Amino acid sequence: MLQVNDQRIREFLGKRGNTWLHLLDPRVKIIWLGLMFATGFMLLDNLLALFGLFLYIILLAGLAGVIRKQIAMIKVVLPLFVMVVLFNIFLLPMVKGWEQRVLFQLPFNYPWHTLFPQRFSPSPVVITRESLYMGITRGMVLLTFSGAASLFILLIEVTELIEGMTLLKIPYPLALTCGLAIVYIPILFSDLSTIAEAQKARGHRLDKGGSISRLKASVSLLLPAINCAYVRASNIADSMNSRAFGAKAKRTLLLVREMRQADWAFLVLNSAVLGAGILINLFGGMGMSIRF
Amino acid sequence: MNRAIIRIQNLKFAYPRAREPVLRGINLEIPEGELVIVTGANGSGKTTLGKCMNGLIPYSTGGVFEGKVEVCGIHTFEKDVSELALYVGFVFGNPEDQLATPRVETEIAFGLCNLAVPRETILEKTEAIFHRLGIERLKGRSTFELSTGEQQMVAIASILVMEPTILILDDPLSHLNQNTCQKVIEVVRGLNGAGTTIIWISQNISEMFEFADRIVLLDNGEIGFNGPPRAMAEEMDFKGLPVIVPQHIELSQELVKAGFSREVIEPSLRGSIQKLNELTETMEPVNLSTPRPEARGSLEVHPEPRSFIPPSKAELRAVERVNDTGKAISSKPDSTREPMIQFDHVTFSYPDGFTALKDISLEFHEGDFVLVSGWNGSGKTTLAKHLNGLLRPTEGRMVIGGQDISDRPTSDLARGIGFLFQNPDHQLHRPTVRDELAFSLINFGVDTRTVTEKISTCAESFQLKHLLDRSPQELSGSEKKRVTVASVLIYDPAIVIFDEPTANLDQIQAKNIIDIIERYFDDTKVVLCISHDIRLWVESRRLNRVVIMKDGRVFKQGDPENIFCDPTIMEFLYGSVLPITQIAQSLSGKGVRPRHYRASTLAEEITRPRKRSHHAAGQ
Repeated sequence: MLQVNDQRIREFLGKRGNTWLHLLDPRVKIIWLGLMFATGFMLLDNLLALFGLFLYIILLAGLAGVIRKQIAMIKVVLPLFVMVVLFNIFLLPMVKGWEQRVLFQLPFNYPWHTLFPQRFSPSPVVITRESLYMGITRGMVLLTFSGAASLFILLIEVTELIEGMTLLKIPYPLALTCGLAIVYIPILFSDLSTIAEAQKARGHRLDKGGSISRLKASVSLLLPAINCAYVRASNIADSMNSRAFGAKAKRTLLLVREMRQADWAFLVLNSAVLGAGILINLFGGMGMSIRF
Repeated sequence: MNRAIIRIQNLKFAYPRAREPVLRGINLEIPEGELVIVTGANGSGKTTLGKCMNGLIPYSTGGVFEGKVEVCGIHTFEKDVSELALYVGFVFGNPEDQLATPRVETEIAFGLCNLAVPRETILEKTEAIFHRLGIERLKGRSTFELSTGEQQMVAIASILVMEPTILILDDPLSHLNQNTCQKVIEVVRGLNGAGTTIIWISQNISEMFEFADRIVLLDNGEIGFNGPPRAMAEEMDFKGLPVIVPQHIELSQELVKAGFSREVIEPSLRGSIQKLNELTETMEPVNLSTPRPEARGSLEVHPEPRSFIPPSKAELRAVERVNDTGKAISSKPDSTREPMIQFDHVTFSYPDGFTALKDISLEFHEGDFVLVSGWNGSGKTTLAKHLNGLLRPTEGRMVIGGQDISDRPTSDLARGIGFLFQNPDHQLHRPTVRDELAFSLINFGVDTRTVTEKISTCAESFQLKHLLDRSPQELSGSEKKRVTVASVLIYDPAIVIFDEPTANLDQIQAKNIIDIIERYFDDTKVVLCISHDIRLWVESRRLNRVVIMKDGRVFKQGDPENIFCDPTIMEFLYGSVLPITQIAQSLSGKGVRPRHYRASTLAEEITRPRKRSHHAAGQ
């Protein structure tokens, strides 16, 4: 974690392209993210439809010319993806009252019997058709959501995010808090990186020992980083108060934006995608729909 | 006298959970339209007093508040901070910590938007402020990508645009280069001329000394002095003050001590030069090789005028390079030996493609005490981080003690190379000061008994004994700095790099740290100090080399005298040569050596026995 280069994060958050997707109204970008998440929830159990949604998001990233950056961001969640898939594959067969077809039986038992012999009887680890399907589907959900979120981050500037949220009538303090949280991610990483350097310069080896001691060493560095972040947050609050933040119930909105035809068209297209998701959810449609 | 726009009566304040109050009964009246410098040591209560004036204290901090603060006729207790913002603008010291929005235009307009000023008016006012500060080039940029100096300009603009009646600036120049400093001073003076009351909080009183109407010196939460600059210069001994004072006043005070008339004290540098020239009008050239008198400031008159013969460099070096006991130390490191550190055509680029170092070739030998300076972003810290492997050259190689260190991990190199980071909060992470001191020793596998012994010795010499069981986070800024310096020097590395060792310290604390570094240094070590302000180092007697960086390259290097007195370098860094050099140059026709950079040595030369006019004689 501490090896993350804050320059890279700055690069991700700082520079923006100039494609028609980048130029969309920030409100449309925010609504688009909401539509993609809503569609994803509609398709939670439908692998094929989810895969289609994922491809659609990748296609948009391609059109925006940010596909490499997006893949790099999705890679961050890969360990979580593996965990979700394995968790579903190996644990869902234990759900009682759900008829499942066993595909493989592995030559060892679940550990529950050894841990709680009174409660569990020995049973072999199995992979069922249903658990395999659900494992991959839940993994796909994660990839789709992270794909949508990463494309959103790559398309929107922090200023646009605050403006967009304000134009959507979200309270300004909340919008500003969201924006500042993103702005200060690279600074937090920069602090962490400097703190790690300061300890290495005093002979501390962050890569020494097993994973537990390495994790412990890294966590100890979080304390000064949190301290720095706290000081910075309180300074920003003082600076904002000193500039009349909260003096009037309704503040002036500096930027005035008009929705263009392209914005409306994109909104309609993506509303249609959600509509399709709702229909698939209601009528089964493609893929294998499973209900608990 | 104008009516008082700020009235403070018996103000006492203590932060929550603080052991002692920061302000201890302040009584102060500031008339409308004055330019006031509030100064004092670290922890004397300068910023706290400023925050009391705009209502941030006690609203945002809590704490124990007694007394009364009234600004523009409003009791600060009666209004919220955001309402007081209409009258009082506050520019904070660290620009990075005060930017609330990610785009320059929205940042500058932030206050006006909060006050619900009509959009068209906001656009007009922001446009005007861009022009007034000369920062049109920043339009459309993200505040996130700006340099620290640019961020500070945006922060100042965001307050000025609100047109407050009182403007408080807390150390506003500390992150700016000289050109930008001049611009800010010009704007602030313009505002003051137009009637705005200015409260200039700074440890460097030389920035505004000649323009100020009044100086308020805080001493441990109480007012130590309150009056005009001239009175301060006449009444107080600047040498013992914990603040950075104008060099020409230091010189004048030295001269007064040596018997010159008080007339020599002039608040402005120009006035000082003029007065000194008048007072030394009939001073004759003197031969510097004449033996020095025992007592400084003697006014005995020589019967014969002497011709001016400049001393050789070797003579000067022998004078300058003396150790603590006054004994001369070796004049120059032995450069015929193998260098201890070698930058061999080092180029370094960051992952985003920015090339921070460009083909650097430098050698440092045992006995080198080096100051590396230059503007922000010139590559100073990047250069230093190559020494212990925190950064690796993109091209070229780094050689330490004759070995290429390209594949040596930082943790291994750390045994022989100490590195002090600028911000102590980045370094201190152990529960107690004792653990902090032990940290490096334990990392290097030193046995427990030796660790205990070393901590004891170190705590003694760094005056940390009473702090050993305290948490580093509870300490004051200067105490934290002392702990970090001690935690590096405790393992006696042969090469030590200090990144801005005097940052955020007052003048006395900075001198203490420089003194600690100088005492540590000897002819077997290499000490590299990185500092953006070389003026802090003019008094150093150990410094023997200065390297000036510019845009990732070595701009100039040489011995301190050659660098401090070089007009090209000083104009590049500060817009003009040092005040002392300017005075020495103006007196060069009278036999004064023109290459001076210390007030003490120039005063010594001026007061050396020579024929002088009666004007100069003591009263």
